[in-house]
Formats: sequence, C-alpha cells, structure tokens
Amino acid sequence: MKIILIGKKSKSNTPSKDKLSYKEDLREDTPEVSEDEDETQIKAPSTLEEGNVLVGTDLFQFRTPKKSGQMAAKASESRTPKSILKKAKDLNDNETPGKDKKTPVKRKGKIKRPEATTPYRLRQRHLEVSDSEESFSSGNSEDELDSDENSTPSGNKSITSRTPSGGSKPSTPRTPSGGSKTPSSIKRNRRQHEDTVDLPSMVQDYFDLHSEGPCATSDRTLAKLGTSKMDQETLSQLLHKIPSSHSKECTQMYTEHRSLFNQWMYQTCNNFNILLHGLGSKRTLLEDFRKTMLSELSHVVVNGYFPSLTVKHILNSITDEILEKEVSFKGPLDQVDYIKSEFESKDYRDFYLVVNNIDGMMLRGEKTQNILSLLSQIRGFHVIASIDHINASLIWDQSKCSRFNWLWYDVTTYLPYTDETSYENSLLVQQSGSLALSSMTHVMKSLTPNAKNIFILLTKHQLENKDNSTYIGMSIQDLYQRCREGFLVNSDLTLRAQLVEFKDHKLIKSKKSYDGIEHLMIPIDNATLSEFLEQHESS
Amino acid sequence: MQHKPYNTNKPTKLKVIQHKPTNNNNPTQLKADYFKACEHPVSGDFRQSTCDLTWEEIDQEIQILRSDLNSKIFDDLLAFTSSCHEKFSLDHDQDHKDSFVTEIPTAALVTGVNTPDHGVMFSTLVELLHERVSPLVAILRSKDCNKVKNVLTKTLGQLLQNPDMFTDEEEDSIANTKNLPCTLSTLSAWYNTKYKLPHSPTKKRKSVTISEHQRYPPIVIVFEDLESWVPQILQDFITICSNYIHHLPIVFVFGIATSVAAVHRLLPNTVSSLLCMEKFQAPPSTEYLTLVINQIIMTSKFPFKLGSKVFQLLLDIFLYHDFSVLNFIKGLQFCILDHFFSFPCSRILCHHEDLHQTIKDLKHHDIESVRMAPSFMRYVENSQPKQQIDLLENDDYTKNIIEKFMSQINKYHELFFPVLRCLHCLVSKLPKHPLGKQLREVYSMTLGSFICETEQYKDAIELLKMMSKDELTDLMKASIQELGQDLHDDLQDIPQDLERFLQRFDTLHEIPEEEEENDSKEESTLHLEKTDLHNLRKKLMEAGKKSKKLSPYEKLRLEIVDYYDNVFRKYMSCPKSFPLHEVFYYDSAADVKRQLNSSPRSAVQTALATPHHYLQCKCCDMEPGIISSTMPDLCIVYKLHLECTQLINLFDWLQAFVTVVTTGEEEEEGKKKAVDKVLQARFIRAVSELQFLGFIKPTKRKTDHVARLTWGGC
Repeated sequence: MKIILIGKKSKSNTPSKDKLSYKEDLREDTPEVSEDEDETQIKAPSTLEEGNVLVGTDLFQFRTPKKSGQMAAKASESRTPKSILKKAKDLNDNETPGKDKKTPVKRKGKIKRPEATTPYRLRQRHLEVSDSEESFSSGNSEDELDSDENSTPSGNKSITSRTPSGGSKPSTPRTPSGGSKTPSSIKRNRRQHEDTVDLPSMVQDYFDLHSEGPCATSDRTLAKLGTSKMDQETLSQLLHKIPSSHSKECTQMYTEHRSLFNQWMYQTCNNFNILLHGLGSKRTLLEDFRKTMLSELSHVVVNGYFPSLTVKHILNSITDEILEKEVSFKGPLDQVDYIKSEFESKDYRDFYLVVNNIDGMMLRGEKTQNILSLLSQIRGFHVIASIDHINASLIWDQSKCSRFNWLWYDVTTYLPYTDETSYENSLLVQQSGSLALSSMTHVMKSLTPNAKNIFILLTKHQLENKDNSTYIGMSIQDLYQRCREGFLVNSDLTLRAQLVEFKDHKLIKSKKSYDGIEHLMIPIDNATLSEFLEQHESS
Repeated sequence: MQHKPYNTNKPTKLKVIQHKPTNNNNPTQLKADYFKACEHPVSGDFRQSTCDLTWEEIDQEIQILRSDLNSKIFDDLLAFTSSCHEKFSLDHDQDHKDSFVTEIPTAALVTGVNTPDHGVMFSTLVELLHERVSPLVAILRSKDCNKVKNVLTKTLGQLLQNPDMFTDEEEDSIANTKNLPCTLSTLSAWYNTKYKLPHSPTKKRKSVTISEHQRYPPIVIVFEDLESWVPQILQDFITICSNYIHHLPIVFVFGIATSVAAVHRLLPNTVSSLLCMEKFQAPPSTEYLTLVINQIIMTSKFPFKLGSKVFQLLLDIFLYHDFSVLNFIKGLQFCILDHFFSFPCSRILCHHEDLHQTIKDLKHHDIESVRMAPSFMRYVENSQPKQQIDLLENDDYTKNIIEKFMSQINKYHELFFPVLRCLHCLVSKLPKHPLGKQLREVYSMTLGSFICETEQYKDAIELLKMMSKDELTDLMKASIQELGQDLHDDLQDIPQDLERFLQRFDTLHEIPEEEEENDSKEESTLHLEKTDLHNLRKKLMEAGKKSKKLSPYEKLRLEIVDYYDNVFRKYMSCPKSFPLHEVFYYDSAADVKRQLNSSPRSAVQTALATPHHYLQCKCCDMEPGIISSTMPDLCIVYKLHLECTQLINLFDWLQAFVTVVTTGEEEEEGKKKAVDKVLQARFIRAVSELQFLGFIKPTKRKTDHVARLTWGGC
C-alpha cells in the first residue's frame, strides 16, 4: 500500500498502467481514443512506439523543478542505510545557502520534506519504508508529471487523497500538517498525481519555476577540494589502475556485437551503410571490425572527434592515396564528382570509409555531411560510422538520411570514451597544452620557411621575456626590424601578410599598448612554447 | 598490397589503407562469402542467390511502376512545354507582334513533401524533356545557386554545353562562351545564330535531331526545389528572363513541394505577374505507395511476403515519418535481405514453378533447418506418433510433406488476393469504415489474424445486411469486376454465382409480397394512437422483438451476404495458420524497427538510466530511480545530474558522487586522501563523457559550474 501511495512508476509506455496503481479513487476508464463520429480520427502508430524501454515523454521533458540540495539528498538516500543519517547531516552543515538565503534550519527541513507534508500516521509508515523506496519516489516525480498526458500534476493535493481510505474524494484540501506555503513544498508535492486537470496550478508552477532565477546552486567551488587540477596524464594513469565495473558483462556484450560483423559486411555489399549508436566508445569495436573484415579491402579510417579534421582531409586522402591521382579541385563538391567518376567508370571495386564519430565537432556541419552523404552514394562506396551525441541524428535532414541509407545498430558497450574525450576541454582537467602543440606543428608544416622563421623569432622573443610579468608582446616595429635583419621580409606589407596566417589560426594575438603601438603575443603558455621550440629545432 | 605506415598510439585523424583491387574482388563473390560465413554455411550460397534474384525481380517491377505512375503528368507537362511557344519566331520584321507571348509560361509542378523521392522524378523528367521536347534543358537546384551569377552560369553551362549540340562548328562557339560574359544576351545571340537561318547548314546536318523538335526548340529551365531558393535571387532571375522573352522561348518548370501558394510567398506581385502559371499536380506519394503495395506485396507473383507486424511498421514509418516511397522500398529490400540472411528455412522459398526442383535438391541439413521452423514443429507435435518419426527422420518423406505444404501456401496465395480485393470492394465504402478505407488496411488485418473472427469484420457484415437494393447491386457488380477474368479454377464459380444473384433481383417484384400489408397496418396504428414517449418506446421494443417476417428482398440480401461470408471464410484464413508460413512471411518487426527506425537517444538514455537493461547483471537490477554504488560511474553521475536545474555545481556533484560510491567502511581517515584522488579521476572521466554525449556543457555563468542541456529527470 505504501508503494501505491508514492506512485509506482511503471516502465511501460502505456498511460493506463500508471493509472492502475492507484485506481481505487481515480477513474480508470479514460478511453485511449475518443472514438465515434470523427471519421478522420487518427490511430496512434502503435508499431513505432513498441519495444522502446524509454519513450518520447521520458526523453524529452520539461525543466526539472528541483532545488539545490536535491542532489546531495539523493546521493545520501542512495547510500547504504547505515551511514545515511550521518552523511546527510554532514552535507547539510556544509551547505551554504544559495541565492535565496535559507537558514540552515530550513535546509534541514528540506531534506526531510516528505514528512512535512505527510500526516502523522503515514509518516510512521514512511519511516519504515527503506531508503531506496524513498529515493525512488523522488526520482520519479518528474516522470510521472509528463508521462501521462491525461493527468496534470497539481501542487496542492495532499497525500491523504491517494490513500485508499480517503479515496472517493480526489481533491481533499491540504492537511494542516502540510503547513507548506513555500514554493519548494508545492513543487515537492508534484509527484502526487491527480487526473483532474488543474490548469491554474500548473500555470502557477510554471511561474514559480521561472521566478527562481537561474542559479539555485550553492556557491562552493572546486578550490575547496584542496587538491590541484589534475592533468591529462595523471588522470589517465589513475584511471588505468581502476578495474572497470561489469567487465564480464561488457565482454559478453562485445562478443555479441562482434558476431554481427558478417551481417554488416553483407548489408554493406547490398548498398546499405551501417551506423552504430549506443552508450560507450565504439572505437575498439570499429577497429576490430576493420582488422577482421577489411584487411583485404582498401579503406580509410576517419576519427571524427579529432579537433582539426576537415572534410578536405578525407577527400584528399581518398583521391591521393586510394585513387593515387594528383589533381587539383575547385571545391569539395568538384572533388566528390571526380571521385564518383573515378569509381564508376572503372571496374567495380569496394571501398570502405570507417568514421569514428561521424557526429564529431568538425564533421557536424551541413556541408560536410552533405559531402559525406554524396560520397556514400557512389557505387562500391561503403560507410560504417558511429555516433555518440544524443542529438546526433539531427545533423541529417530527410534527403541526407535517405542518401546515407543507414541501418542503425545499437551497440552499447559501456566502454570509456578515452580517446574521444581527451580532446574535450573538460573543466576539471588541467590542459596540458599538447593539443595546442599539435595544432602549432600542424600549422607550421603548411608554411613557407620565411613564415616559419618569423614565428620562431616571435617565440624566442617571448621565451626570453618569460620572467617579465608585464610583457605584453613584441612590438610590430621591433619584429619588422629583426625580420629585415634576417632577410625574412622586405617590407612592412609582406610582414603583415605573413602574420595574417597566424592570426587566422589564432596562434598570435595582437594588442595595442597604451601608446598605440601594436604588440604581438602568442597566447600559449611558456612550457608548451619551449617544447615546441625544441621539437622544431630537433626536426 | 601495400600498407601505409601509421602509428596507432598517436592521435591520428585519418588512417588510409590501400589495397590494389585483386581479381577475386568481384562483388557477388564477396557477398556470397559473407553469407557463407554466417552460421549456416552450406545452404548460404543458394539462399544468397535466391535473395538477389527476388530483390532484382521486385526492383524491376518497381521501376516499371514508377515510370507508369508519372507518365500521365509527364505527358501533360511535355505537351505544355512544347506547345507554349509554338508561335515563337525570331523573324521580327514579319508581322508576328501580336502573337508574342509576353509572360513566361510556367508549369508549377506540385510534387508533395516526400523530398527524397524527388531526385529520381526530376531526373526522369529532364531526360524526357531532352528526348521529346527540346535539347535545351537546364535543371537548377537551390544549393548551387546562391547568387544570380551562379544561376546564370549554371543555366548557360547546361544549355550551351549540351552534348547533343556538339558539332565541329559549334565547338568553337563553345570555346568562345567561356570567355563571353555569362548573361542572357550571350545566350540570345547564340540562340539567334543557331536557329535563325531557316536553311542553315546546321539544320541539314542534324536534320534527324532537329526536325523531331520544332524549328525553335524552347529553352526549358527546371527549378527542382523552389521553396528553398533565396527569394531575391529568384526574383532577379525571373525579371532578367522576362526581358528576353521576345528573343528566347523560355519555359519554366517549378518543382513545388507544398502548394502553389509558395510561389506567391516567394515572389511579389510585380514578379509573379511576369509568369503565366499552369498547375500540374503530381500524383501524391500515397498513391504511389498503394500501387507498390498492390503490385508488389499483395500479389501471388512474388513468393516473398511481409508479415503483419513488419507490414504495419513499414506503413507507419511511411505515414508518420516521411511519406517517402523510396524509404518504404528500402525497408522492403532490408526485409528481403534479412529474411534470407537470418532464416535458414528461407532456402526453400521459390516460385511455384521451381518448387519441385528446389525440393528435390534439398540436402539433409536443409531439411533439418526446415524441421526447426516453429510451425513445422507444431505440425509434428499434432500428428500421429508414427508419422512423427517419419517427419523427423525420413528425409524423403519430409520432402514430400514440405512440397505439399509449400504448394498449399502457393495455392492459398493465388486464391487469397482476388478474394481480398473483393472483400475490400464491399467494405471500403461502409459507414465508419470498420475494415478501413484502403486495401492495405484490410490486408494488414488478414495478416494478423483470421479476419472473419474479428469484431470489425462482423460489424461490416452486419452493415452489409442493411444495404439498400441499389447499393447492394452496385457493390456486387463492382466485386465481380474486382474478381476479374483470369481466375483460378476454384474461384471460377464465384462471379457466376453472383451474376445469378443479380438476375434474381430482376425477378424480385414477381414474387408476391403478402407480408408488407401487415406491416403497414401496424405502422399506421402506431401513428394513430396518442401516446407518451415511454409507451412509444415500449411498443417499439416489442415490435423489434417480434421476429419480423422478411421481405423477399431481405431474404435475398441475407442469402447474398451469407454467400459472401462463406467465400471469405473459406479463402481468407490467416497465413499464420499454415505450416511453414515462416518460409514466405518475414515478421521480425523488432529487427526492422531497430535497424530502420532506431532512436539513438533513447538507447543512450536507457543505458544510463537502467544499466541492467543492457548489462543483465544481478547487482544493478532495480527500478530506474534508484542509484546504486555498483552501477557504472557514468550512470551514477548521470542520475545525480538529473536532480539539478540548469546549472550544476561541480563541487557538490563530486561530493554527491563520492557519497554514493563510498560505503561506510572506506571512510577511514588515513585512506581518505588516496581514495579521493581516484574517485576524483573517475568523476572527471564520467563528467567529460557526459559532456561528450551532449548532456552538459561548460558555462561561464558561475565558477565551477556546468550547464545542463536536457530537461527533466528519469
């Protein structure tokens, strides 16, 4: 009975099932389809919704109307019951009130809030309910809010109204013990489900939600931890030691996915392309696939998560290294046409394009995807790609989707995204600068010797002044002078033309000093710079 | 073969592995290899070739359908384009002034929203225009035309460099055009020199091609996707063209996906007044779909069939997602591939004519795979013990049985579809459409269950029993027509019987109708008496209860409906009731849904919210709301983040994470520091993975906070 009170969340997507759990006092006959008279009534596409564990209403919800302490509370609820009280208290003491300046007393009340709105009799029972159930209820409050369109959450209903005993009156007034006119308790009560449409209160909730202001979080920062930020290397070292959880199950899943390889090959041979999705890194799987199935076929592997990848690289690698032709092109579309004609004018040949993260930062653009989709249509051209971002499927419109001709495979692996995330600028990780270094070397490779030397000049100057805290950069006249001395440029204009390249790649920043003279500075930390210099000199 | 050296340790963008194509890289060979590599090695080869054959046949049929479908609208369109400039002449001295067209003739081709299908349609259209109307056709797509200059380049490029036009003489002029400015006056000049002289040598030389067209072939410019054009560019281009209408016979074809109103939205009055539009409505994609379903799926011609769930799913994807027949056909192709790939018993699927040979060629393991089919096993269970042994061990006996079953289903198909059409014809116009309006709806019902046992069917029969004479005779005539001429022997009688019934209608009036007077008398008494509502109702109820004597018409009607009912009951049994129906019907809807209509986001969120769903481990088997320390870190961090509003304090998050993960015992003071470091690392990893997945992003609104990108909790 207690569980019924709290409202059982059922996994199924049918609203009627949710309703059944407290049907005693609620009408259970809500017809799914309002039948008759309407000739053009629309049937719900039942087959499309079937079989999903989560349905649309679970995925796309309204904003969580929750307050700052919730996460800590949830965490403490999820602990082993033994340590719960102590920890929860600890957390409460630690917590500095957020923007709305709540006294610690109120905070405490908040953790125990479920009791505040519960009549004594029920409270007793509540205490008996294990913590897990408790947390379960709070976790689900939002689900229920949205998962059932017939019932609208109403803030002011008390728990008594759902007990079978108080059943017949769906809208009993709030119990006195509730005593909660504060918006927080109203929100808390939302999990109580009523099927009477109570629009005004829903509107009220909406405004409550938006009047809160954006920051209902505590003001503590990571500095409190007392430890410095970790860099990428220590992080990976630490993580390396940790045994991964569920490794047995993961391996099992992985083997299951492996058994699909033949099927994928067969389907790609029939002009379908394969798209892998699901949680966990799919790099290993794709690499494995490449090694086992593609060893006899020509293919290109693209790492879409790589930050400086462009579609031009992909196209060039196909024309230069697969077709082994040296042709220049007007643009990517032109190049695609060329590849197409090369592939289709000769004998049939298979070619595989393996894309890790086709939804990667650099491949997301409409044009890039357009080009990839055009490539995928070429005869003998097969694409096997993976996606990870939750909104990844938005990068294709209908026509691109139909060009790609995807077959989707859910290959949840639970493997960590080690390589993929190493490029994301995580807040918690001290940037080692290795990325900047690699992009610097990358740009350098494409430059003329003169331009290289200009940059080296600038780098050296900056390193010479590394102890000078007021260093604002090298003045442009100074640089010009030195460049002339080194026979690098012959006029101010050529120097500026050379500098444009660096500015475009954000490798130098120009700044005007108080006297109006332009100063040039490399916005990269000195350690990285000296490493770069070393690398350059050694090569 | 050469391997490009690459280093796996370093982050690389691209890895290129080049293999020189070898001789055995023949695609069909490869396909067969993969097929064989799957678990049923020997029969694979044959299945694979059957699969290819089946798909080829169906694909061919679809091609034919497609060209047939659009033929009417294309004919109209071609007639329009060729006729609108009939009076065009370049000889301005002559007295032709009044016959000049002052507006640009425009065909607005309304194509429907199923954009992926349009590419094929327009390329066929352009091809046809080329062949039959004029060699001067240009097709413009909005993506190539973001400036007026590009539009002109594209147009002129396509018009002047027409392969049809290449002769020695013109090659020079083409070479020249590269240097010429890309304007319509260039085009006009080119057109003038080319077509003006009535007895030019060009004409003689190419009398074959030119004489087919008129003397002045119109210049057809096709806009494939009008809605996505930049209005300003379109307006400018049209204005420019309209200035040349006296010198160039320009015709536009607008491809419009929505409605003609789109033209007026794009073009102001001043511009649209330059056009003389005529609307051409392309057949809606639903019509095409109906055609495909009727000709490909609902026919005994192809042995491969879709099962009820898969059929419904493909239909739903079409109706609720994209309206694209192309995708529907791809779905069908996928079903065929998967059917042959995953079901070993599909080995025996073949055309009726080849059945005997196929069965004869069966090897022992093939028969074993057929024995594994659920419907066959059910049959075995229900048969006599002695027969059971034969069925399971005697291959020759089993072969005979298989052949029997197969021809049974083949025959069933032959009889089924005409009767299905007949049923649809009867019920499609009933009030409230108990069995749906479309043939496919009736079909989908028969696939799922024995239709005559369903409520909807009973309703329909009841409704048929209330038809008036005119309606019923019309329906009967239509159903006879629907049954057609070349019927299977077993069905030959039905049209004849129906004809006989129809004849009896004519003789109906000859049968005396004594009863009727009685009825009318009663009715009149009803009217005479003054009575209140309550009494009236009572009386009417009584009258209803009395088994009314039926009029001759009603008797005949009952007889006819019963006759129909019997026919349907006889021929429309559910395919699932036949043994070995798995061979013909592909019904693993879950696979189709997963592969064609998957929802990646829900997969990710399911994995995060209920890891048990994927991991199938004991430790994480709990309701979705609960966080347990045994779950993967990513799941814990995800679940904690659901508790937050837009902004998340990283410190609090970390604390909460530590709280969940650590148990009481680990809190010994000495250990704490080291543990913290590791936990921190785990937390960092999980947070950056969430960021990578797109649930959060860094924000500068508050120090050490991240912003949530999704709403709600799970």
